[in-house]
Amino acid sequence: MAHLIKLELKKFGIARNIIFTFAAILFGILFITVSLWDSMTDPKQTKDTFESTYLIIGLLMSFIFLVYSSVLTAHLVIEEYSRGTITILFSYPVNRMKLIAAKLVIIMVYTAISITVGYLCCSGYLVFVDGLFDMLAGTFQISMLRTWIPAAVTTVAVCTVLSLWPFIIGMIRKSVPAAIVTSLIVIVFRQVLISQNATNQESLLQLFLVATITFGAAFFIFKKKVPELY
Amino acid sequence: MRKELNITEGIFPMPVLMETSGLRKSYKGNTVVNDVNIHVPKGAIYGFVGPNGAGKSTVMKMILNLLRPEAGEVRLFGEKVTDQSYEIFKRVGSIIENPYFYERMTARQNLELHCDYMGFPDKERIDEVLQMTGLQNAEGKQIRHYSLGMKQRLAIARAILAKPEFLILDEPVNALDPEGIREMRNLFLRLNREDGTTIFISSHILSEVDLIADTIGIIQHGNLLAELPIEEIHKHQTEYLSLQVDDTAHAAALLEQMGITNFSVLDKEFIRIYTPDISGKILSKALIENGIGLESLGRRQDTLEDYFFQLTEGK
Repeated sequence: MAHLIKLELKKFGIARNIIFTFAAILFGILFITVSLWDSMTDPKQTKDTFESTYLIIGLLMSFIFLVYSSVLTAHLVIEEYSRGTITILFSYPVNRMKLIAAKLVIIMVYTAISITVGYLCCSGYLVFVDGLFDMLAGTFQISMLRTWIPAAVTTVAVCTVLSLWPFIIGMIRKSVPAAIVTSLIVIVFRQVLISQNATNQESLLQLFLVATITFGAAFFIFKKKVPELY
Repeated sequence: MRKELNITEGIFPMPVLMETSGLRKSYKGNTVVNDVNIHVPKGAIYGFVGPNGAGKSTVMKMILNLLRPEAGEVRLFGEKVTDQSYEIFKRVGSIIENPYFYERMTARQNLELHCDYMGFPDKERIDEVLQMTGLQNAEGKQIRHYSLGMKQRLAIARAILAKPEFLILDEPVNALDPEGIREMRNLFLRLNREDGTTIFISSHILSEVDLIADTIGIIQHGNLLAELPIEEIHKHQTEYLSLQVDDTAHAAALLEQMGITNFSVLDKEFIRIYTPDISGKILSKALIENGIGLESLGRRQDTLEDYFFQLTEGK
């Protein structure tokens, strides 16, 4: 499996994706800056709180990297089928299920790392600019990390699991558009789900349910759709 | 009457390297491969011929386990091909359907990736196969800038790269120019004679297969109609006299008057006479004297193509 992951990483293009991650985080920082600047300078508005801004960071990072995970799924998995290169890959002396699993592991790990780095950079930026320009209501307290860290861990875990859905739906008809659209639907669905909770985060039970359903569906697709070339 | 040659089992003196038994596949209720039993002798060049849509590619995909047969099995190197037997593909090189590559990678990068997946460590072999296929000056070019002919050559280079014992080539000379076809034919012959590579090659260009194969399998409508060594076909090749006339009915009547009965009228113009000792001079004189316009007259010999059409059209 490790050997297959190494091989698939050659096609993945690590440098290209690291550049994308940092570009996306920069975009997130820019977005937060504009939002904070607007609420700070507009007398009709009150300053944003740390709590609300941190929620926005979570939303932004999960939106960007879930959509991007669908692009990676399309590129690394579905296009192998639509471009016919899967006939070459499946003619190699490798376990086909492990080959596709290796691709998904790369996508999931990339999504998890990117969202984590995104959280770290954006939250760090938040604390830094507030210290310099007092852009937010209140001041940063270390105790805030008691809620921030679990929230970030939950978001990273959920998004990592949800990054499988573009694969699940996209593989039904080996369709790239279906994979991309699925990621958008998943984001909206998640938002509807967590808005019912007081914490705006998934509970542990919800996380467990989402993971069970997702892995069950992925297993079904592995059995039924991965071996089908057309 | 000509002897009919049918599927012959156990006629090959060499051990069988690949065999299929009772292979069947249907799409939407339409049977595309039906009870196909193929025997590829070790060290052979097996020409798998049939018209487009006969089921050649489907059989080849089932050999590589790219498609699952509904019934029957494939045995490669004596081992049944299943999802768990992927290790045997270390010994197999293949071209299936079109020459697929990672278009944004260069030829060399594609071949390096192939080595990695095949577990073939000798990267110096890449230079050799690029040389063999005449692509040594295009190795740094991205595949998206390759012509179809170049992609076909590169697909051949990739198939032979890991020194396979068994080569599965689905229409490998498609898109090649005549010079390319000759070069690749010589390459396949060299691999077979010098390295002992067993080759299973499909084509609808019968003349090409006739030049290279030593064993032939003929498939039509998903059924394997015949499987035999090419010498068997050559042994039964008949010499005949081909007549091109303006009135075949009149000419046929004249031939019967002359006591020639072993002939067949092919169409409105052509007649074949299978009596080898008849004089062309006498025949042409008789035709002209009876007012039958003679366009051409010549001695010919059956080819694989003739055998193919006799078998598939029942001529």
